[in-house]
Amino acid sequence: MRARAKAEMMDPKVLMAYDRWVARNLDEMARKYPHKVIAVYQNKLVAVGDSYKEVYAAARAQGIKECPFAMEVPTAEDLEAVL
Amino acid sequence: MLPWRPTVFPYKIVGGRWSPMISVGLWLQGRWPPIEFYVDSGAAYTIVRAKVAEDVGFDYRKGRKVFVQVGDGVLIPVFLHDLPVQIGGRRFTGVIGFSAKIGVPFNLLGRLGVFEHFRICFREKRRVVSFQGEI
Repeated sequence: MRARAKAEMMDPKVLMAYDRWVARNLDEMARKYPHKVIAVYQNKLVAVGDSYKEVYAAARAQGIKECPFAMEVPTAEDLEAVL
Repeated sequence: MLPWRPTVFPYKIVGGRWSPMISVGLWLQGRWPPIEFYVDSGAAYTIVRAKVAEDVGFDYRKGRKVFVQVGDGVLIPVFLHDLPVQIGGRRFTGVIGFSAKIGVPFNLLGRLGVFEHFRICFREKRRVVSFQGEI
């Protein structure tokens, strides 16, 4: 029952915490890791790699059982491409 | 966090440019990987980069194939799936496309099957976008 409830949705607070982390750190990430995939868990950058698979595996290797937040880091030029 | 109260997302800054990007939960392969999307009111479809799906083991090619015209006039293949999506505290089943040809290194949150669940307000001056669940 608990697992089912857990599967029905993420904790919205956790989801919004990821959003706040991105708001605080994306500019720095774009300078340090352009076009890399980053993974974030509990307000910490836990992996940087070339694919989602790689950063998810790195997170698992650190004992993180939940799916961390992951994104490919865009550059300002990438964002200019959006009309 | 009540589903009918607006969820306010700050714009994200990269290289001095502010963009409406938000963290979204997407149900893939029995998990909720949180994924970043650019909110694109000019896009008909929500499109996730194929490598996201591939890297979590989701066979996106089983979806309904459509062709979507992008900015330079080229038609790109997009595979559509009806998937659980979470924005803020609201969960719904949305139409999510996957494409290997999207051409930008981020995912786009478009209108079809997503925007109809919300009242969405872009506040450029305050650099926030808010999503309020439609009742």
